[in-house]
Amino acid sequence: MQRENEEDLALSRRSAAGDSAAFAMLVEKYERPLRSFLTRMGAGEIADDVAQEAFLKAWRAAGQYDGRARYSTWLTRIAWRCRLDQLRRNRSVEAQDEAVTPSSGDEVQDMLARLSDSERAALILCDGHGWTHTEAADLLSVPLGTLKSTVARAKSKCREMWSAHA
Amino acid sequence: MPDLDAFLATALAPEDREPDRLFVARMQAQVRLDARLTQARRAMARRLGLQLLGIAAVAAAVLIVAASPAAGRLIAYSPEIFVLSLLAAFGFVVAMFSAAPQSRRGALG
Repeated sequence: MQRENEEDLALSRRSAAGDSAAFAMLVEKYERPLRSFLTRMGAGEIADDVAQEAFLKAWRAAGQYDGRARYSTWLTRIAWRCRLDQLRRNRSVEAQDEAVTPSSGDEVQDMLARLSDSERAALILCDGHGWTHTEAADLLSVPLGTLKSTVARAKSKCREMWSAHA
Repeated sequence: MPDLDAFLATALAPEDREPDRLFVARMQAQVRLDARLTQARRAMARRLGLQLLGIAAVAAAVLIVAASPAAGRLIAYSPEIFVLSLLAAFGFVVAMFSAAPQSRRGALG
């Protein structure tokens, strides 16, 4: 983990100095989990646009990454803000349309559709991406206790649907 | 009944696939364009600063010269020469601005 952070920090520093090849290595390493997270968050067709916006912001702010947190945590925080901004922009009509709609035919997507944004993010990151509760709490800017109860609430809702489905 | 935790862990995990080369290439192109635009913006800001400085210098020079008693005598004696001087100053400012588009094209190209 520490070694990975150091590698990412080195790549990020090279990016900050204008090395686009170094940044491409970071994109190659993290596009898969980031786009997967955004897709599961309900960004749907625009998940790639949000991911691109997040990567571009990460490129511009490369000098600010200090290696204390994992690069994926830092990058996902940027993407999370981009997603929230995008939701705010489209709040009137499209936000509801874009959110994962029930009965999509995908069982997990149907479950996620019934969760709030923060419940969905907490569940995806902690249960799917293997983040620690501390990292997820940091991303969502909530206290650790709140994050734990958010995950528990999300799981409880999923369990209800799981039982009903079974 | 299958285990919900195991189901969620599998279903919510990032998909298992090779990196998307097309996405990476697209991102790299965007980043290069962004770097070039940033460079161009900086060059433009520098040029604008210099132009403003030039205008201020010309304006100050015209004001100082116009306020001097010698200029007053010259204007009274021959207003044409004074107008000619103003036109020369104006030509200098125009020449300074007309040099800008070329360097903007250079910065983006």
